[in-house]
Amino acid sequence: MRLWTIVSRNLCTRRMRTALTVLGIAVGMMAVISLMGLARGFENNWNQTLNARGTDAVVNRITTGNPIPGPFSQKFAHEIAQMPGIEASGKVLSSLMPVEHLPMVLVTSWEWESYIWDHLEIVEGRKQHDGTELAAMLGKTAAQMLNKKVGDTLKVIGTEVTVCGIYESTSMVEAGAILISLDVMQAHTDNEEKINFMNLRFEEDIDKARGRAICQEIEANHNGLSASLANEAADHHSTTKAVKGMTLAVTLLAMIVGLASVMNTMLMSVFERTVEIGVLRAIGWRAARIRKMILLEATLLGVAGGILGVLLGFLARELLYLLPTIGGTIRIEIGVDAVLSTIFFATVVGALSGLYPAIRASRMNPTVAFRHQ
Amino acid sequence: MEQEQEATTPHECLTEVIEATRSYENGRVKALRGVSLRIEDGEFVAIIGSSGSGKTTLLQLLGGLDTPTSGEVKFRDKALSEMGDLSTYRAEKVGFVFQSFHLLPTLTACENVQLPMVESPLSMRKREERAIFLLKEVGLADRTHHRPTELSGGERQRVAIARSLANKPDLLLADEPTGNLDCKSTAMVMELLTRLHRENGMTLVLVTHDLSTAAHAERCIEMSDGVVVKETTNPAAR
Repeated sequence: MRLWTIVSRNLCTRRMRTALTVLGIAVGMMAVISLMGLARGFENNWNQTLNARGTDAVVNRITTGNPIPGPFSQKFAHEIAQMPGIEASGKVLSSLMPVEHLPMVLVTSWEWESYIWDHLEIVEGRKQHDGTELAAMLGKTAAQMLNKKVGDTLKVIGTEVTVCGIYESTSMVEAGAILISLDVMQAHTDNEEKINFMNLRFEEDIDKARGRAICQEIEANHNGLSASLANEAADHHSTTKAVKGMTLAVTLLAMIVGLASVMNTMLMSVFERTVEIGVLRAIGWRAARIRKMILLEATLLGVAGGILGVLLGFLARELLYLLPTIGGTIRIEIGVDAVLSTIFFATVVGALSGLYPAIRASRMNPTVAFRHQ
Repeated sequence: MEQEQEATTPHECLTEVIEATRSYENGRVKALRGVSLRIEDGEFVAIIGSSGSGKTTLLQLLGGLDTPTSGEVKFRDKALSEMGDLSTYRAEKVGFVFQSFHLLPTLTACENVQLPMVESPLSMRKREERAIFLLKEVGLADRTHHRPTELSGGERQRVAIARSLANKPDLLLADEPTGNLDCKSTAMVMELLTRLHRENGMTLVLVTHDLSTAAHAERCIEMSDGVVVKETTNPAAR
């Protein structure tokens, strides 16, 4: 018989309590892994978007807490576009807004005839005739969600626009967006001469170090603007920062809840088994073995909570994808590293929670324990 | 203390209690008031007395479950107070049998018997083999995989006796081992303990308030109010 046998039997005997404790940890871990996946999904999506456009760097206003950075004057854009090493640029004005029955859709507008348009693959209809046409192209996912086809009208940015085309994009963000030209967007959203992103494409001979230097120069010359290389832009994005901050907060909360839950369970278990532990001490079990037994039980609860939390995370993701308003717009990318770190974290929480009950149990005097019955 | 008959000392001293006192609650409760006692190797001693007389406290001192407030307990001439962690002493030298059996309800009879061997260097297979052997010894060969709830009181106590023998202890301490048993089971358990003592020469100290149970012992020590008041020998039990 192994120590493992006693530990597993103890947990299995008190099934309901074990199940509730594991579930308590699992819910916390589900939130942790989902947020980690959300942050990863956003980062990858953002990188994918910039890669698809062939963008090397992004300039935006330094903002916090808002998924879309605040607008800034496009006069800076002209200065930046003239900087040495920059081959092409594209101004962008985007906003998240309710459109018809959907509570939130990305409406994005691009500088007419900038390089950003080049990567789109139009699968139905056509592109806008020019930068002033009151028409919109819809990403394939957006068209499905809004149930629109070419020729339909759509109420967006406070006016009726005609759907002139449907495009496909490798970027999930773009596939779920409504695309109009920058001039139309600026005119209809009181953002004359304003943009909130500027995409930059470097000349071919610009390496990463030089690219970073250009970004630093932009930031030095334009107070309040942030410039980052495309592959680092997601990290600097306020949404990524917000989701990562939320992940940290939820992780801490999950840790506190998990600690309290497992510690409560283990203290109750030790209290209920006072006589049993006294008997084990009486028949020669060392204090260290008693500690090991209790710690193993607590750790096992943590491991089980972690594994169940990961499974619930995957389940929650699939359920979220079923919702039409969410399914096409966000990606929760749960990687092996997130799975392992969540289970590891839950295991550590379990082990830490078991420390105090284990010490308490190991210090139990057998004669005092026998009087407990 | 009344000495009715001179006790013989056929073997060397196994354990000795020297002027032991044990008090609780800052000295307000005195469970033992200067008890001295020698138990020889291979002896069968019964400690009798009414509830609160200190007999269980004395047994706990002998078993290293508790330490005296003053005085000393020795095992083979070595003071328990000098042994450091008494877990090893309890695991290797002493076997305990309790009134309430104290078997772990989640484990089978065989697993319960293996519990004291967890600290031993024996392999898992050897431990299991020994547990099965001991269960056969106590007449429970067909109950090895039964849990305590599936056993009668007498069977549970026999499992507890098998458990106490797991590490081949020098000293078997039984605290009211028949206190929770019916007459038939009591007779069976006492026959088993007596047989173990006779066949293996095991030193047995039994605490009881039942005189008929105590009659199985070779020596009977009567306690009252924390002191030994009477000691008798029973040559018929030898």
